[in-house]
Order: sequence, then structure tokens, then C-alpha cells
Amino acid sequence: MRPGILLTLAAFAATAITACGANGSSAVSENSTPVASATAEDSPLPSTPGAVTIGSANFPESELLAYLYAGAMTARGVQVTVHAGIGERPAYLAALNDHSIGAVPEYTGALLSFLHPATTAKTPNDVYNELRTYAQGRDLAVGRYAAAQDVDTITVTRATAARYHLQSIGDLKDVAPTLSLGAPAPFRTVPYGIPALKNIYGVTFGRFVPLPATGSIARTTLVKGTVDAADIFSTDPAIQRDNLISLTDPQNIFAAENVVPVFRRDVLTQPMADACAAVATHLTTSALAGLVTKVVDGVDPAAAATSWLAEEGIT
Amino acid sequence: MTEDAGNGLPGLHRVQIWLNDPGNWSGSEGMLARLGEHIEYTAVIIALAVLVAVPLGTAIGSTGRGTVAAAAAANALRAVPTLGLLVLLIVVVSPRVSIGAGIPGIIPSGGIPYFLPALLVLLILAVPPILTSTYAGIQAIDPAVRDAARGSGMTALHAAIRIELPCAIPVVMSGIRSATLQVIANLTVAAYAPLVGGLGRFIVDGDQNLSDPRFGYPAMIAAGLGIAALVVATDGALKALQRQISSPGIRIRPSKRPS
Repeated sequence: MRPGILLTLAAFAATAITACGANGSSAVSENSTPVASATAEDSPLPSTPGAVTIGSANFPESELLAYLYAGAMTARGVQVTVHAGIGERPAYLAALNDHSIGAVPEYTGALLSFLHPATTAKTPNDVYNELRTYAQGRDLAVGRYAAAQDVDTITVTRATAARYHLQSIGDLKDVAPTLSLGAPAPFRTVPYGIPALKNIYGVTFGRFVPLPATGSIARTTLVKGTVDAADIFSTDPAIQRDNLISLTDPQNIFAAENVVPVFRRDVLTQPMADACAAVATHLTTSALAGLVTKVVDGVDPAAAATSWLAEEGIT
Repeated sequence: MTEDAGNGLPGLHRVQIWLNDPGNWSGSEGMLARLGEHIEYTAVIIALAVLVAVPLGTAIGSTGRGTVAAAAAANALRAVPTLGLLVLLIVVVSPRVSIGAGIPGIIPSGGIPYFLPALLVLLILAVPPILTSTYAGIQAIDPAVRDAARGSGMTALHAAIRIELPCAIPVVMSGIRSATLQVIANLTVAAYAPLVGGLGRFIVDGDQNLSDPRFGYPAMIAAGLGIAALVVATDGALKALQRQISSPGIRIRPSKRPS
């Protein structure tokens, strides 16, 4: 097989599983400021570095995030073991619960809706604050969240954006009836999907094309013009590679999915929290997308994490 | 959120409600339209498979050459994982095909790049049974029949087309029937490709949206029932066709059939 094909396949596999990461939704709002601090102000954290095993879900981005947090914590004297690729959310949360691991990278919105399915929080701060409450109830502590989000976006090609002067989802209002939208099948009925586009932005697409929940096929249909707009994750490598434009979501129909570390409360120490906060300060969606692109292209996640941490002056 | 089976899914009675809702049957995304697409796709695929496999199988059967290679190739093709190959082709081939047009009523515009992988994968599934049954059917003919044809002055080609193939029809048709049933069943996965219709659309989309009463598992079960019904009906029709086109002399009659 030619390397190009292998890469495409790797990208396919990667994006296929990224889907598990953020099952809810939100828009890329890079400008949302992470809230000042983090965890359990009720009781001061131990000042000794301590030791932690950090797990990850079984998709490349999660693995990469585990190594980012691990690298930053190691630099602060924490003894870190990485246990990557555990599985999906129920699997790694069970591992967290039974002490097999002490921490795992997460996404605020997806974790919140797992812990509290009835949530209606949408903005990064609301989601984070609610998440802290529900995490505490499970003896978990969440670190500071990063501006980086892996969230659903309505994405178009640069040409489409230019032709119809599109910046935010709302700009689609007048042209959407002549356009088609490609998205995973549930998008047709989930509250944050087509119903939200219609009720909140007044946007109704002329045609809905159900796509497999894999970025690679969504990318192909979008780039080839099979669909005019597609639901693509904000860290999908295709966005940078193919010069795609993710429309902003000022009304937050997609709940925020900021990257956040989740710890067992009895494991978390101040140096760990500080290390994760340092990562959070520097990690933007485009930085994360750039790192994911590297990993999908075959760079070892640990190596990609190490070099980024050094570039940003975190280690 | 509600992906655990048996947890949060509406009950089985939803299937009946789904089937009784005329809105689920009509329209371009309704059951009838999808059923029509399913039949059209199957017809196209089987026609192509017959065009490839019957001449090839006849040549192999009547010359006796290439039997081993054909058997090996057919068995190897049968081992190809349909869904895996389909996904591979969608990822690798679809981006390189630039046909924007569609075929009205069958494939929506822009759908051809995604339909081709499905077509290819299902051809791989359909050709082997027809190929092997054709050459096996022809090889099973009593050598005396072949000798008689040649002895009466027919060329080898003539004998193959006029005598051997007609004699082998019941066996060839059994291959075509088996291929057709496999294609009808496996067309379901073709819906993994965007813009490709057929009853699989309900199943592939429903699988991602299980708990939805309209697009979720009730639609999947309804489509499954539709596919099962289509398989039974098609097999009956093909059996009747087989009887029609078999020469009376070689017709296999059930011995205890009341007449």
C-alpha cells in the first residue's frame, strides 16, 4: 500500500474514534476565558508532588492529552505512569473508580452529560461549574479547563464561506434552504442538532445527508461538494489541511467541550493541579488540532507531547 | 446517552407503531422508496455479476481449463470482509471519483462516487457463487451429451451455448439465487456510504440513533423485516423463473407433487 493510503486510513480510524470523545456538542469559542482556578478549594491540596497513573480513552487525541498532562506533571516532580488506550468513557471511568488509574483527560460537556444527562449547561463556564459539582459527588476533582475544545462544529469550505459571507451559523439563515448538511444520523433528532439549528438560528437546510460518524468521510463529502456544510469535530485535522471554515456558534447550541483533566480526589496534589493548569493556559483548539494532526500522521503521541510542552516553555 | 440496550429504549411495540405510520412508508425517504432502491441496486448488481460470471464459468466448464484457478479465486473472494473492503474503498476510491451527476430515481446527484465502492464490494460477493455454479453445472453434464453435440457438427462454442449452458441451467440458477440472496442481505452495509439508499439506510442510521422512536431501532427492525420479506419473495420469483427457463427435459420435478 502506498503511504498516502495508510495515512488516510489512519486518519479515518482516528477520526472514527474521536467521535466517542465528545458525544454532545459546542462551538469553537476560543475566546472564552478559562476560569481562574481549579479544584476543591474547600480543602487545601497536599503540596508534595505525589504519584499518579494517568489513563486515556482509546483514540489518539485522548492519548496525546494524557501525555501532555503527564509531561507537565513529571516536570514538577510528580511520579507519573501513563496507561493509554483504556477504552470508552464507561471503561476508563470505571478504572478511575476502582483506583486502577488516578486521572484521565476528559471533555467538560461530554463528561457532564455522562454524569448528569439532564444538564442544560452550554457555555464553557456553566458546563465547567456544573461539572465540578457532579464530579465532587463522585469523589472526583476536575483540573482547570483549557480553551481547547473538541466539539461539533458546522463547517464549510472556504469557497462556500466566501460566496455566502458566512462567519457564524446564523449567517446560513437565508441560504440554508438551498444547501445540504452532512452529519451523523442522530443529528437529525438530537436536541442540539437540526432542532437547535432551526429553533435557535432559524436555519433549515434544504437536504440532510446522514454520514457515518467518521471525520474522513465527512471531509470527503464536504471537499467534493457532495454536501455544502458538515458537522465536523473542531480538532479534525481536515479543518487545517483542507482550509475549511468552522462557523462560530454564538448561541452555544453545542455545549462546550473544553479539555479538562479529571482526578480521583484522594490522588490530586497541588503540583499536579499546577502542572495541568499550565497545560490548560497554553492549549488552544488550533494547537490541539495541530498536535492531533501530527499524531494521526504517525508521530508518537508521547514525542509530540514532549516537544510541544518544551516549545511552550511548560517543561 | 441512551445507548445501553434495554435501558431507555422504547419498547418493542414501537415497531408496530412505526409500521402503521403511513409517513414512514411514503416519500423519498420512506420504506417503499428504500425498498425500490434495494430492488434496483440488487438487479443492477446481479445483472453485472451474471454478465461476468456466466460467460467465464461456461468457458471454464466446457474447456476444463482454469478450474483450479477459478475455484481458488472464487474462494478467496468469498473470504473478503464486505464491510471492511467497503470502508477502505470509500476512503480510498470515493475522493478520487469526480462524477457530480446522479441517476434520477436511483442515485441522488453526487452519490456515484459512494455507490461505486458498494457496487464493487457486492460484485465481489455475487460473482463467486455464480461462477462456481456455472462451471460446476457444465462439468456435471453427461459427457455423452457433449459428444453428441460435437458429433452432430456443432463447434465447441455452439455446443457450449446451445447445449451445455441450457443443460446446466438448474445449477446455474441455484448460484444466481444464492448470489441474489447474499446481495439483498449485504446491501444493508452499503448504506454505510453516504447518499446510497436501500433498506440499509434505516439500519445504518438507526444504529447511531437507537433510542429515537422514528429513526432509531423501530426503523431498523422494520427494515430488517422488509429485507427478510424481500429475500423470501425474490427467492420464490427466481424459483419460478428457473422453472420457466429450464428445458422440460432436465426439469427437476418433486416426485410426490400432486398435480
